[in-house]
Amino acid sequence: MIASPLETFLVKPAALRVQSVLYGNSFASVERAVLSLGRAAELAFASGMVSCVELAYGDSSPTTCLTEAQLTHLRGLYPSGLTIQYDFFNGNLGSAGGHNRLAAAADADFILMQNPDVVVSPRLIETLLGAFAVPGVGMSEAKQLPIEHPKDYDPVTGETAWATTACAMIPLKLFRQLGGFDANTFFLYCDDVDFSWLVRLAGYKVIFQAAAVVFHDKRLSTEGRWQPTNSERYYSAEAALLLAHKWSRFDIVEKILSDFASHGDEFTSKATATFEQRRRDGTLPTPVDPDHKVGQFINGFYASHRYTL
Amino acid sequence: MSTLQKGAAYDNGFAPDNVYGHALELLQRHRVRAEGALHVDVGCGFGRIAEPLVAALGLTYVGCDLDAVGLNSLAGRGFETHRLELADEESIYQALRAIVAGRPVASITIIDTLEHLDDPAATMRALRRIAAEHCAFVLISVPNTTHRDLGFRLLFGQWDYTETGILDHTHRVLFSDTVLRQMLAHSGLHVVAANDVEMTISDQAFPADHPAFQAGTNLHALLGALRNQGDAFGRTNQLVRLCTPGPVEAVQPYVERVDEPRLFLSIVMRTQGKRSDTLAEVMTCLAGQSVADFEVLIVGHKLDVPHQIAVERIIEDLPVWLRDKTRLVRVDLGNRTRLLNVGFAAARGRYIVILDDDDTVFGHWVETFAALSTTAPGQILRTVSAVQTIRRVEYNYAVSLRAESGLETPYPSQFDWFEHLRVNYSPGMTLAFPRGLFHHLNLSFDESLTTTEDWDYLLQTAGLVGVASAPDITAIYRRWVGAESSATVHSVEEWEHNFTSVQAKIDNSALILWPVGTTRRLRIMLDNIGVPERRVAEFEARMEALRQVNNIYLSSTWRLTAPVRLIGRLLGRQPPNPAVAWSLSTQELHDLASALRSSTSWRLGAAMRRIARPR
Repeated sequence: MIASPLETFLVKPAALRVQSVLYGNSFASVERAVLSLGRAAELAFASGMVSCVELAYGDSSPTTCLTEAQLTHLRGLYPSGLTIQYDFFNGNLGSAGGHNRLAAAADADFILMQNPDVVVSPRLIETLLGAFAVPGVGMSEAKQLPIEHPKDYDPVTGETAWATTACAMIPLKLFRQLGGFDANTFFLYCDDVDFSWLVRLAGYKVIFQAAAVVFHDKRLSTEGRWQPTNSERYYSAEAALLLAHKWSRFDIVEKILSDFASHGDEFTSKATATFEQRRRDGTLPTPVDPDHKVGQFINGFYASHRYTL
Repeated sequence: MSTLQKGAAYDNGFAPDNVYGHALELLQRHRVRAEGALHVDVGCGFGRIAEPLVAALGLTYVGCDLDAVGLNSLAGRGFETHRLELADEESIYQALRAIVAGRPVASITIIDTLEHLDDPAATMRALRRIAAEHCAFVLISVPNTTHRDLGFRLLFGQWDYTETGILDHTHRVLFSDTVLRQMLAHSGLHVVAANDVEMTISDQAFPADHPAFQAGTNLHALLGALRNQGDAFGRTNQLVRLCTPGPVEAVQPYVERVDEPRLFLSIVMRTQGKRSDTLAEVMTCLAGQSVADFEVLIVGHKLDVPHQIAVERIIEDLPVWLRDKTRLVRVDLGNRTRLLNVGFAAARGRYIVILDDDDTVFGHWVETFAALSTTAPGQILRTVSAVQTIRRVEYNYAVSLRAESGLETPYPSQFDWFEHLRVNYSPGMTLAFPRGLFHHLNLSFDESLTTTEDWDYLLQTAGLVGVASAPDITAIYRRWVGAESSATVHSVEEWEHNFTSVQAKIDNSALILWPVGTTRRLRIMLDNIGVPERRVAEFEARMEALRQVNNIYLSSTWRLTAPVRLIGRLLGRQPPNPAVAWSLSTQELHDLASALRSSTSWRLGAAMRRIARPR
């Protein structure tokens, strides 16, 4: 049955599947994450919000990230509160492809997508689920610390332009209804922006839950600046072009290409080449939202930002 | 030597301010008085306390010693005396039982005797057994070898016995407050009161002309201030303690050294329980630390029941590994500075850091401190904090925080002692203090300060141990918008008062060891004092000289006399060139002005200037 924005997705207790895509993560960081997630699951059980919590790992690493012994250790941390699945992809599916593959095997009411090194606060699951008590909410997003994402949100309702899947919850029914992430277009970045906009295009709200807190181990340079990795620089440049194309902002595509040509670096040059190749090959995504009801491109961002990082 | 023989050198008279007077005052204070009961003075020597004691307490004085000279003196004054050798516990006990002979005993003194024995604990145990049988007090006095004068001498390699005094050449055991307490605990004697003899200048303050002993020297002030941080016995000449017999503690008469392994970092977090949302946030940041070698002391201030429950719930919610590292310590008295002292006192870590319940930290916060500690052991460890403004939001029945600004970086990457003398550039969570500052140097937070207490503590300690800096940004100091914080709770006047108090304290402190390089920096600063003023004066003098030269060149008489200079040039003379005036020094300009005024042109123009001058 197709869901309707007039309904609420919340069911109590809900079956929850948490999924993360691994790529070369350290065992220590994964263990830290599981220790906190398991406690959040215990509390969510105790409050009657969830009936079961399953943690599914998809491993995109060249070789397995976790050994059998490590998996056994992780499963032993919360033997009755958290079941752990592990799927070695034997190939790098990226973020979108990895989550799609994991979600395909899911049997739950909600899926909580998060980075494998994210450390959740104890009441995270309850707080994210709580957002769905309001009819029409299709996605709820956690607040990341210590660096809070600068995108704006309504301080009264929590409504926001898009949700980052560093930690976000989606009803599985809606996820499938919308076809999951666009893995054909997006590899590492903007798959969540694109999906959020699809949620909104379908008439649902994306809610930023400031009280749902996760710790995401991001660091600043000694000058206080954001430090993107090389892959972040390349894939975010590529995704910017693809997102603008998909959301029918061809003017933005041309502007980005122009900016890359005049002020770019090796990463933007490579992104430009990839985009042009896809254009020649006819493999660019089919444009949506021709009337620009949802997609937002503001000063290089996909929402208005409260401040600059 | 197991026996004690005292000679005439020990015939010290009774005085209210010496050890006899202090001992008697203690006995009087505790109403040691029982008609017909004995007072047994072990190691009595000449027993100069006997007469005042009998007069004050009405007891029967019995003097016991090995030395016949003292006993003869006492006997000659009409007191009962017995020869007593202080050897092993059992023989002492039996000998004393024989001396007492069934009579009631009210009190026992052993003054300036134990330190002469090979095994003073054996004597203590015997005294305890006798005292226990009679419910008697035992008064003990020993010299204090932690008097600061011995420390001053030892620091400079001087250690000398004297005929009598703190380091009497016949002493076998050297006592301090802790040595005495340990031995008493081992012997089953429990201190009920103390009346130590204080003496600022002891018999060990020699040579008197040593700079360490001369009261006017900086060295004396520094050493004295350092000793004061150790314990309260730096000026104590003799430890005088009144004890009662009680249970024997299962401890040796000496300290058994145990270097227990300590966790790395104790995190002291003050809270009023009013910000459970921010407390939950910072605890989540701690759950994400890459190095988990820490404990968390949440110091709750005047928590009412709902707020206490709120804090306890946050702790209970934590994953087990973090919950086990977290303790709630409740404090119902004092101001917010008191919480730091309580938290630091309870801390078990090698380093202690303050983390407010509304701050956040990055994943390498503890890790960066830990790395610094290996490169600069014992120093204060400093990282850097960014600043971000926040405000409270509430929706979907949940209260939380919303960042309102980007991350500012107003604090310098490296610690600068001089700059910190003017203002604090190091928020609390960027400083990890080595535990020894609080636990061994007894440097605590000044509870008279209601704000800036962390700055004050940094100034009081940084000079002693130094500060090791890492430029990494490891925390975010969150500045509130539209909500209560220490910046709003305390008035401007209160902040200013505390600010000036901190500066006054550091200005008067003798406990500052200036970092290497200080003299050079001071010299440069002194050299630069007055430089701007001198440069302005030089500039003004030059401008005045230029103005004078310019006035001459621009004067109408100078222009009217141009033909004279033309003739001069035709005759081969070289009059000054006005165009080069700007390149001349001040002195050269003065010389030029003089030359111009004495020139033929200017002298010819003088008549014209007189004519033109209004009358």
